[in-house]
Amino acid sequence: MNPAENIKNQIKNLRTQASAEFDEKMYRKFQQALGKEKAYTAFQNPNTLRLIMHSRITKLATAAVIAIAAVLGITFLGPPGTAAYALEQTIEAGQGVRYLHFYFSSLDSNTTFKEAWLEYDDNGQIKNTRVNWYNQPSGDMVAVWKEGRTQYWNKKEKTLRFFEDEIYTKKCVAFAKRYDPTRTVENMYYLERKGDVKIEIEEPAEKSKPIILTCTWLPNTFITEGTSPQMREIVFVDPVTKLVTSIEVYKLEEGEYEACGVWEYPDYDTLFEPGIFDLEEEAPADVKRLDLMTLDIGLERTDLTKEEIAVKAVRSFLEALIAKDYDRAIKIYGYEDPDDKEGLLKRFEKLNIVRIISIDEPIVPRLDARGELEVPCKVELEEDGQIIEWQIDGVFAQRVIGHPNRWCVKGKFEK
Amino acid sequence: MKILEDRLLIGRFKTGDTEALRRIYEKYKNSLLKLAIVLVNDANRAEDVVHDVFLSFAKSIERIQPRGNLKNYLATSVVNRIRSIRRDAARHNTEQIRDIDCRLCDLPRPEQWAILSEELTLLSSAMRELPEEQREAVALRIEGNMSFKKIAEIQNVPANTAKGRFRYGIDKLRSTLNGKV
Repeated sequence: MNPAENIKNQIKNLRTQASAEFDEKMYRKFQQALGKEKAYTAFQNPNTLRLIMHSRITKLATAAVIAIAAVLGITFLGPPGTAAYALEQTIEAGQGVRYLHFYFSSLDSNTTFKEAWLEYDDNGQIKNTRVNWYNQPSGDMVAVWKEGRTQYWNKKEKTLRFFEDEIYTKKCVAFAKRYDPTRTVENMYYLERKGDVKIEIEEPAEKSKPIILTCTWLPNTFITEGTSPQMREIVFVDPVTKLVTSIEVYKLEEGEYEACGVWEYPDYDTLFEPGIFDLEEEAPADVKRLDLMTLDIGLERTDLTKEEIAVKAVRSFLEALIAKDYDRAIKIYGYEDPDDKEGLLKRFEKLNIVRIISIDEPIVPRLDARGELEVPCKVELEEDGQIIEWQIDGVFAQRVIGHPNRWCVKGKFEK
Repeated sequence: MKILEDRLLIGRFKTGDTEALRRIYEKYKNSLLKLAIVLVNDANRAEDVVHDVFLSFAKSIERIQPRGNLKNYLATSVVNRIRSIRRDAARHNTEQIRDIDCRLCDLPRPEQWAILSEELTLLSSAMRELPEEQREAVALRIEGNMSFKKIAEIQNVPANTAKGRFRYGIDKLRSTLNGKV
């Protein structure tokens, strides 16, 4: 080692330690700065924060694992280096959890942050879910799904939407199954047997370090509907409780794994605050309530395929614009707030479309789970007395929320 | 393990989770204290600086984006805070400059909260002998784990200059300390 490296290492290895008094002072200042009583409680008593192993359910679950292991003859307390961990232990440890609270932080260009709460009934079926989105470009949002009915609160827009949608319900249940870490591991366990997922288990020799599962998903297996590239999830498992503590998500882009986000699971079976699944009560009075079930919008799908109805919806919409039948165009385009109709009318009146040149085969957007289809189309437009061609960007057709047999059109339609 | 932990903590703190702030503080307090001690050569001043940096961080969390490097952000805040104190002192009283750069007290005062090792005391005194720019370059490189490019940005100089400042600083420290740490 050269002398410069030597001095650097010596300096680096020097340690200092903030005293308890300094910590106390900082905690007091944080409390004052944040103006919250609960802040001080959290700072003052870090050791009283709930630890997973202190949970009664977890203890029972862990005991159950040990009991099952005893029956099956699995040796957990084998000599160092023995590969003791198996996915079944995490699946067992998570059985009986009624309340689950977790976070997701995405790392794409629009960094978002999600927080979710799941409640199961006595039979282990999803009862209620709530997801909060923070730092969204379109503002903070909250979605609650409670016994089949969805409440959707857009805080920036000051709107609260209500709807019942079978497909949305399936997605909420799928969301819970997908991101409840126990169910995630269970799902991976079965998918691995099918060959859709490859799992590698790394159990560090040092027992205090987490067990790491590296799960690689084949393309188009990661989400329930739509397409996806090859994905990778790194699952961190507490070596004592065998419960999942966090999951890092990566996608394969041009041969390299790019970080998409991380899920963190700090709370297993902590009771939720009452009213957490009731946005009607929680949203302030000035938030506009919109019941989507009362709207008459979109075009009936009848017996058409998704692709056929997507093309039909776009064609009918463009034909209505050409005929200057704006009521029909607005109905096919769809809206969620009747007060938006006037703005749509102004927007569509500016478009002087005279002829449809082509409508191509619909395309499934990449990494999209909403089930919408992109419909490329080209039209002729009259502008300043001239006829010009316009390839319209970003025209989509999708189901109308709350009315699964109707389809509407989405897109900016701005030149 | 937690390569994404800081971003997650910032995100959580933004949502009002005070436990996330506690974790950020616990994670970085000691390294920031050491950085401040070697830069100001005074444990009490260092604590004041770290105190101000964390307080300012807590108050301005709304403006902080979770995608940057939190450790770099906090280390840069320490440097900026020290510069700001120096500027204020220079404006008001030249005596205070000496006060800020004063030698470390031989005996910690009762209110001196950071626990200092003898080696760190020696290092801090040796750092005082370096010109301010070299002191910053050494501290940010070793304590802040920053690249020369990042140090150059902070010092508003080309990367090679930052590299040179670091090298000269290390050489001088080696000769001053001469095996004492």
